[in-house]
Amino acid sequence: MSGGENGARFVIDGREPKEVMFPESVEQAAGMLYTAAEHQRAVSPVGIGAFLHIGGLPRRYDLALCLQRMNRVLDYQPTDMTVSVEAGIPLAGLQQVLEEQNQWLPIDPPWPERVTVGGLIAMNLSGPSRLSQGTIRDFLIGIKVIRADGTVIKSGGRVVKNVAGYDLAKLYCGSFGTLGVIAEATFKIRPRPEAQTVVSFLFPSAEQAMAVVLGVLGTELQPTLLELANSAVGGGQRSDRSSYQLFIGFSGSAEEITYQHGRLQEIAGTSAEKHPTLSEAIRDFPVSGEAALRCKVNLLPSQIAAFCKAVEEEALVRDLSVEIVAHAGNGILYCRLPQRDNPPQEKLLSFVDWIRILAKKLGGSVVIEAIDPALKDRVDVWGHVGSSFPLMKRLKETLDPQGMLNPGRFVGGI
Amino acid sequence: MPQTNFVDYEKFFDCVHCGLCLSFCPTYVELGTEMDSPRGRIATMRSLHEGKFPLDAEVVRHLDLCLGCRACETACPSGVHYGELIESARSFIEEQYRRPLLDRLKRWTIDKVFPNPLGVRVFASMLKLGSALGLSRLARSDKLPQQLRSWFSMVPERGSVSSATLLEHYPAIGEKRYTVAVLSGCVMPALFGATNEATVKVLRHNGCEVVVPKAQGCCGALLLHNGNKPDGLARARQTIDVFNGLNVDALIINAAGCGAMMKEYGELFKDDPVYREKAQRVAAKVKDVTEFLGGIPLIPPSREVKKSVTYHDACHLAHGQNVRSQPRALLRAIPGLQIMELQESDWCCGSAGTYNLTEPAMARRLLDKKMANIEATEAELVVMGNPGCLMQIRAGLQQRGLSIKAVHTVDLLAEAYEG
Amino acid sequence: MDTAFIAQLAAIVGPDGVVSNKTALSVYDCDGYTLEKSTPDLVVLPRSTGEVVAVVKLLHKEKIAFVPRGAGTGLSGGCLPVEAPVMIGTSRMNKILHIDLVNRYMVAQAGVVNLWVSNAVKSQGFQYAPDPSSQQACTIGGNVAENSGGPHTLKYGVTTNHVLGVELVLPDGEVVQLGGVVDDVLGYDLRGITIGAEGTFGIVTQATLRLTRQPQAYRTFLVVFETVPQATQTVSDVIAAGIIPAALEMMDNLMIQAVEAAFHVGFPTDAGAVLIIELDGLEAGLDPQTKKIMAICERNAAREVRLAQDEAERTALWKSRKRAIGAAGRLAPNYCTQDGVVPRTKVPDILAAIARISEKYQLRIGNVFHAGDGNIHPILLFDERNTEETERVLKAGREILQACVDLGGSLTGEHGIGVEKMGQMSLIFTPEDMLAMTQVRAVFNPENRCNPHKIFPTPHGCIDTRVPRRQASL
Repeated sequence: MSGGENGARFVIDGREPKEVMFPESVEQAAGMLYTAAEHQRAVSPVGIGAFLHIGGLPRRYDLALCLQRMNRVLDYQPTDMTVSVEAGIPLAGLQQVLEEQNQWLPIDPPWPERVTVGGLIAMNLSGPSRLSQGTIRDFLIGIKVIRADGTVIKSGGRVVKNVAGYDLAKLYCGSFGTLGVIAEATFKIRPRPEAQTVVSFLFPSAEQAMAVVLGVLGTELQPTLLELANSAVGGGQRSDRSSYQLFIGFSGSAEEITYQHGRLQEIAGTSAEKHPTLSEAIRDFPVSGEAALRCKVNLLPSQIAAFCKAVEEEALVRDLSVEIVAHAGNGILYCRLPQRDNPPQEKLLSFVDWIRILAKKLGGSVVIEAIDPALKDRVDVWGHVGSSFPLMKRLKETLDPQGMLNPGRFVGGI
Repeated sequence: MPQTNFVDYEKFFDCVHCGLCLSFCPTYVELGTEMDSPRGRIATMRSLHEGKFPLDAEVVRHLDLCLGCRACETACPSGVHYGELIESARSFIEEQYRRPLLDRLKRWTIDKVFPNPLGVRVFASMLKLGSALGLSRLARSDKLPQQLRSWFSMVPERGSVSSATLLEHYPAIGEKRYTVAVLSGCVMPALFGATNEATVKVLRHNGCEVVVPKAQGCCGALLLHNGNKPDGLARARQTIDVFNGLNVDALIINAAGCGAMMKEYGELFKDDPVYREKAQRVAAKVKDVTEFLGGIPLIPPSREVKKSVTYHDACHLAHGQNVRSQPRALLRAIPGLQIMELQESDWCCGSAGTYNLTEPAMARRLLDKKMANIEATEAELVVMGNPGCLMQIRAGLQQRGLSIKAVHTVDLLAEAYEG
Repeated sequence: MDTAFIAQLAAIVGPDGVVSNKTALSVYDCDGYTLEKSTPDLVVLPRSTGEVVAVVKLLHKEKIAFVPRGAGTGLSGGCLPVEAPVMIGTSRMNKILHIDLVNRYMVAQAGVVNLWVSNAVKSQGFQYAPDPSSQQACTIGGNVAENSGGPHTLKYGVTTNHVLGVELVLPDGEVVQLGGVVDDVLGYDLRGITIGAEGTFGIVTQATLRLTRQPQAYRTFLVVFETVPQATQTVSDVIAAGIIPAALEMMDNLMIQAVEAAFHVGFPTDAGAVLIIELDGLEAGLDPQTKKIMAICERNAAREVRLAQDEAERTALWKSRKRAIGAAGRLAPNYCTQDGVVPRTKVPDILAAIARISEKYQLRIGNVFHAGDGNIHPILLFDERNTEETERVLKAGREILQACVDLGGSLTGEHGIGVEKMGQMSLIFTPEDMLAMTQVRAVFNPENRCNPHKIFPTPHGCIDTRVPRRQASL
């Protein structure tokens, strides 16, 4: 059940854990946490380990508690449209089980084979479908968590509507493993759509593309995704001049899709290219590729065009190439400076400062999701939280008084 | 322990305290105080009835502030007879509670003037005189106290008052289809004579033979709304006697407040062995003029009226009688008329019978809201079916110097019929 | 309350913003849950966040506990003052502050009525999806506190899925902005934990609400059945067919009678049960789904399927459904509504259990509920003047909740625990679960002076005997 041989798999920012443990049940995991707490060892809950580059520098890293052996489907009721699983099950594995009943958990983050359900919740991962479906917090109806001291608690349950007690499950969505170890989760799930399609348009500017995005959102159309990519994405294989490709997805019955294609044509005023699905290059963009810098920017949708324009212009001035993919309807945007350009450190840092100022001016924020670990202590990877930070700190101190869970890796050094 | 049972106690249990009435109550939305909500008032009245607390100024204050618009009845899923509760409580207050002198004087004046045709005529003459002297301007004067201004605000602009006494009998125009009686009312002949004439005209154009009994007077509504039960009942009995003997298809009312009250005559006299049946018979015939016209195959008007209008729902039509669609349908039947939607059309304008005289501050707030909504429609005319609303809204339009005119639904209809 | 203190409050909110008269205060003795009553010593009605802050800071300084209140339409006694002398009402904070249709959100003060939100954007084709049945009166602040649901949550989710941010005044008077207008905000989801905290974290003074497009088209059906099992089977079959209607509501015979008496919409009063099924979305997709629904209804021996012919008919149907619980007031002087939830396929089982309990306690129990979500609303009829009957109602209510839990469900789907169901919390939560929750509360409300004695039972059993101020009306 334990093993130190796997340390290399779970390196965080160049730091190896002193030990890796693989619990096979909630009880085992609870026991391990209890013991770790007794010995004041810092614990990082991990899954497959593909996303460990996101987050702040670990202050301490004694034990990697890997849940990948806790991967069972505990209870699947297709007619209730709920499923309970252990947190170590990979998302793709869960989707496979659900697909047999023509259902799915409507979250499509990058690398579904390489993320566990626990990781998905802890990192609040999402994908293009969040436009129509929402994020994991909208589907998580029950959770079992092991507290820092090994106590097992739960909130919610197996019913789709439930307001008994506080909604603790929400706290763990995006908590980055700093409040407890997610051991089990129950989701409400959805029927798979009958059919889905993706079409794309090419626009000379982000402004024109966003006009269509906002236009579509103001109509009766129900796009499942609205992804915007600049011409640098995909290695600049497309025309060399600056342009934006907009992907629009629809799902539902054949009649619904046909109707929407027709309406879309009217709105966009140009003809579309059809694709069977959204390419993995777009879906996985937020984590894939060697990046000197990759950041996630949160904005209002109406600000995306201005942001893209400013970033591209600035990149030109600074002689950087910048790749952009946005969940355009949600105002979430990923920016990547490819490693192949090998930008010098000071240039990177100055660009980070610049982009943060820009985002702030537009009412948004920037999270640095990938950068040379050596630079992490020079940029606050999460950015400034605001008036609620003292509460967050108190929350952390309450639920993990010794500060043993993933120390240093979350906002404000939590 | 004084006797505090002023209404059938079981009626309080209709209220299940769900609160769905709150956002429908103009005074609650303005003040945000539960005591000034229907649910709060019912609780207060129940405690009063149970003798839990004394009839003091605080209790009276919150019950006085009720407009009696009965919007809460529209909202209520549980079927609370709020109007009946508040009116019973009000007569209990008038019997048992001694108001401050000024208040008493004011209420006495209202009680004496309005239900009395002679009183109204005197009052109307004063208004007309005031109008001729341009006293309506005083309502806009900052130098006068609010209380006085509210009285002056009722002074109409020159030329907007009409008095007319109807004949006793009018034949139908064209083929006779119905025989109807018309309540000419107490306020109407003196201040809205033209509207009475318009009512008769429109009815005649729709094949109605119209009778207007001479002996009639006030229906009792104004008095009963104010809690003056003895006088109110006396007026109501008189009205029942006048109309009971008539062999007519309907008893037509063009004042929403009167219509709402007269439809409840049956309930009002349910314990009166002499009047019970007569009251029910009369009540069953009562129809608002728009309700009647909306319920028969209308002979549509032919003359074009090229105007833009908006419709205000008088509380006692919309909430009191559930007459909403018929007046709108009648307006749509007028050729050339452009109809604009009025936001919060069934929100009380603050008139509420004589409320604008007894509670000027709240009436003012509600009038402001109504004015803003009317102005936003950009209509030339605002149409409604109640004299109280007409006076209040005209006063509001006047004070704001707006060119929008307020008219009764039948005024506009009459214009669209030839002759 | 001493007059100097009242004067201090009046200086903040104005003299008409403080209610201190005893008879006036008595109308604040309960919300929509009337089984227990307690009158506050003082009600304060601020108009702005600034006024709330000043009031709360003063209370904090004086160490006085308080309870927030919206419209008082709650059904679990969430705003009953229990050892909380001051009530802070949001009824004057009823302004819509900002509407942004491009980015599809609205900022509204806590006292804005739920329905006003949708009405404000209706003409532009938008709506605010959560539609609790009390939406004509209940406030956004109350919705946030209770994480309110409604008939259309089946497809669209509940309040927490549509509130992007909340402004919260903590019990010490600090203002914090939780969440925000952008989709992903930094740090812990404190907005998520605050929604549904039943007002025990502080006072929500404003909320940022997600606006969504109105569906292009609707199909609203009234389906009539001879028996309850036929109706519940239809519900299961619809869900199993992979159709997620916008709403899937059920009413049994007793409720049909009440609703018909109240609203005269033409419900057949001899039917065993009716379903209201609503599909919405693109016009192009509705007819195929309608066919499927029709076939399922037919298979389950529906007596009649009526399709609302126009918007007026649809509105009338929903009006009557949403006000159905209130209409129960026509059946008896009092009623008590439960709000348990079961997995959706267990609806037939829980209805059978309710029928048994009704029999056992000799009580009339009507059912009108969100069948598609498994969220039941048994309505127990009684007369509060009959104390023995009232006692039976309380026992029967508890037994129904036990049955929900036994079927894998929960105590409450949308009404909250409040004071009503504190005693049942241990049916679904361990002491460790509740400890974690109260610890989280202490992060926001360390001295427990905001809405004390709610949700969690006190260590020594039922609160009835422990809180002297609470006077049940039994």
